[in-house]
Amino acid sequence: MAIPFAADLAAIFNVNEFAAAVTYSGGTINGIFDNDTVPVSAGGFVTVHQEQPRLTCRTVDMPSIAEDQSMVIGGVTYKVRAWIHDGTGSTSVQLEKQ
Amino acid sequence: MSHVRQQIRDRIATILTSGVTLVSSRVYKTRVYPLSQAKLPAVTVYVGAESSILMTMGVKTLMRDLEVSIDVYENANASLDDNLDAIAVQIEETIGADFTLNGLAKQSVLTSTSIDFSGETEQPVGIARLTFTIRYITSVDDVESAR
Repeated sequence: MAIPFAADLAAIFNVNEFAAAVTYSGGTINGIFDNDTVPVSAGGFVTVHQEQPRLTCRTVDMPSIAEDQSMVIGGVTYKVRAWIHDGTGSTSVQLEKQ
Repeated sequence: MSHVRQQIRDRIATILTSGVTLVSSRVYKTRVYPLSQAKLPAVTVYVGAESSILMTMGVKTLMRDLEVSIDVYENANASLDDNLDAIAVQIEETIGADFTLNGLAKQSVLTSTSIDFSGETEQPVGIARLTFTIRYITSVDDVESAR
């Protein structure tokens, strides 16, 4: 029996559940937006606390993902900087605030 | 009075606060707490290792070489490296214009610069570390007065 990943993902990435609407590539996709504040260490004596925006969404919703593409989430524009496909149908996108 | 090393640290922080206008007076001495984004760009000043040797036998003076690390913290989408270098210009020229730190030191020499970056957060963060070696002299029994 096939495991219903697609149906599960559709439920998870539902704006009435956990997801937010994201303007992307001329349309709208759904994804879970996280923006934790994290400590960044780049060689100084102290860390810098900054927000770390990430979007998790369905891989099929971004078949042509590329660096420098724009996303608008909650009225804020971000650019795609990197992404990781988890191999089970979802993708985590690293964003840079503009 | 205080140890000359403390006076040097205070002097450097004071002249950087007025001389490095690009950080809008955000100069911190020996800061141990994280910097939030609202505090960037910023400069931190730390004194590190110090070596010393007996300079004269008669009056017993110590020649000391003190390492002072000045870290520049900046974040930006573009021109991050240019911004760091622009702040470094102000730091180097400010200290260069006060080479003896108001008479506390014999010389203040930039001995190394290192720059690192991180792109993990909403904007890239860059840190430039300028290390100065400050040479100063005290007598062995009076370390609160520079000679």
